[in-house]
Amino acid sequence: MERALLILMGSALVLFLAAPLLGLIVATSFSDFTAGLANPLVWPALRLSFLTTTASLLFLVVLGTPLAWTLSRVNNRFMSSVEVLVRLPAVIPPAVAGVALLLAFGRRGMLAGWLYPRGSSVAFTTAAVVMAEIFVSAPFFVQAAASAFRRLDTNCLIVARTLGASHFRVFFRIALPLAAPGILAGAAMSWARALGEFGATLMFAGNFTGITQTLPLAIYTALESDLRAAQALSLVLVVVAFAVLLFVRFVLARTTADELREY
Amino acid sequence: MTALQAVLKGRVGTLSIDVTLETGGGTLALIGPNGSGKSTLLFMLLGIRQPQSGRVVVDGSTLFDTSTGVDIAVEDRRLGYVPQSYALFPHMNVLENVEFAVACGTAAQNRHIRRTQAEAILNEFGLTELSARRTTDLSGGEKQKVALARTLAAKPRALLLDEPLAALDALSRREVRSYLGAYLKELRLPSIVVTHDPEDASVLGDCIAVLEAGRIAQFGSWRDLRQRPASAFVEQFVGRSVS
Repeated sequence: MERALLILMGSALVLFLAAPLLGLIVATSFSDFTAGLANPLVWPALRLSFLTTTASLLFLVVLGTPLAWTLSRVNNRFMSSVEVLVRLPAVIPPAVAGVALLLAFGRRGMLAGWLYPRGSSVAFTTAAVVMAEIFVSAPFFVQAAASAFRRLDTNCLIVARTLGASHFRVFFRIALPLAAPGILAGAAMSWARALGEFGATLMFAGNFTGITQTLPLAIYTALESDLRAAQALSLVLVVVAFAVLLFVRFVLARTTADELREY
Repeated sequence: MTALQAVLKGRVGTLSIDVTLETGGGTLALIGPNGSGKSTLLFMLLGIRQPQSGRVVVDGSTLFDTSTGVDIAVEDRRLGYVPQSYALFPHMNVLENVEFAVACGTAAQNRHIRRTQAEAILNEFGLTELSARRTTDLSGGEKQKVALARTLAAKPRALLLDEPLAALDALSRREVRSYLGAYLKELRLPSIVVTHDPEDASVLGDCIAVLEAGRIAQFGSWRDLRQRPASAFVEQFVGRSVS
């Protein structure tokens, strides 16, 4: 009886979570879907989202991986505060992130005098979209990469150094390959977050077709004119999100299996 | 004569370490109960942990000396280290593990030469048949041999082994112990073997240092320790062994 009650309570939540997704799928017929995709908003947004999320991911991997490595190796108060700072964008409301980005990098922002001596600014350009995406998705990547590095066998790193390997060699030949699955999973999650980014982009980059109008912004815009386009794009994003989750599960399941083989 | 000499003082948590070590040309077995500072000492020798003061000299060259400010980096000390878990790189096969060490030991070299050298080392250890195996598929004894081969491939000046037999089951333990003992004698490299097992120490060590709470309680041959234990602690610790 008690068990049934607990299951019932859990099921209520599952139903609530499933309903919107189901609604989206049921409401969108195949002809709606193809008609929606034909909307002129769709392809520029798809292209822009693909380009900007690729750029932000590249940027994150190149700079975030060394940061995650440092966070995992150095254990002091300063590094703990850096870690908190890096996590912060994950809990800050995206709209706040947008305002903050404007106040830092906008035309009248804190760094404007230094960044734009000639007056123009990065705000409301494609670069601003990339910046907003980096800002909101960085925590997901850095966090995942840092915990992947923390899971490494310290003895392997120590032994590599006693064998004569430099810091760089230890990082590239031992740490990076061993932490790769966790880093990959983090990259996928942060990419998905960047793909869904809406609030900060709207505030900091605006909503201009082909320049700053990414998929979520296109959905928002289409909602006012062509519901089918909004539905079609939403479905695309749901499928992508689902694929990302499957990918992460697959990658992490493989590492766990590999780690278990050790014992 | 090649030897490792070390004077180390430092604190780790509540344990204060104050130790003088000298291997001679052979193997020094460092025994003591858990928490007596054995592994910490190895880390200080390797340069992973910083002693407050002291000196480490191997084969005439100073690796660490607080009085002159010498502190050679871990990767330049050339002290071979084999941890209890052996720490073979799980993403490389046996040959690649050894090749990694060869590549670290010597600077610019082409890949082909490195591979040939690594193969020669595996051959020397009788491990050629394992070269393509994943390190996770090896038995404990095989892992240890590969770890030793990899360590020696980097041409170390001295060898530090942390609990080399603790990860083995009782059956292979005896076999690996006698192999390792014979091998260390043949190697003539100053070596330190850390163990909590007096029996292992008696087989592997030319001389033995008993560590008690960060200090050397007694230093001498196995016979000395058995016949003239310096304290009740040493007598009790050494006396646990049956052989």
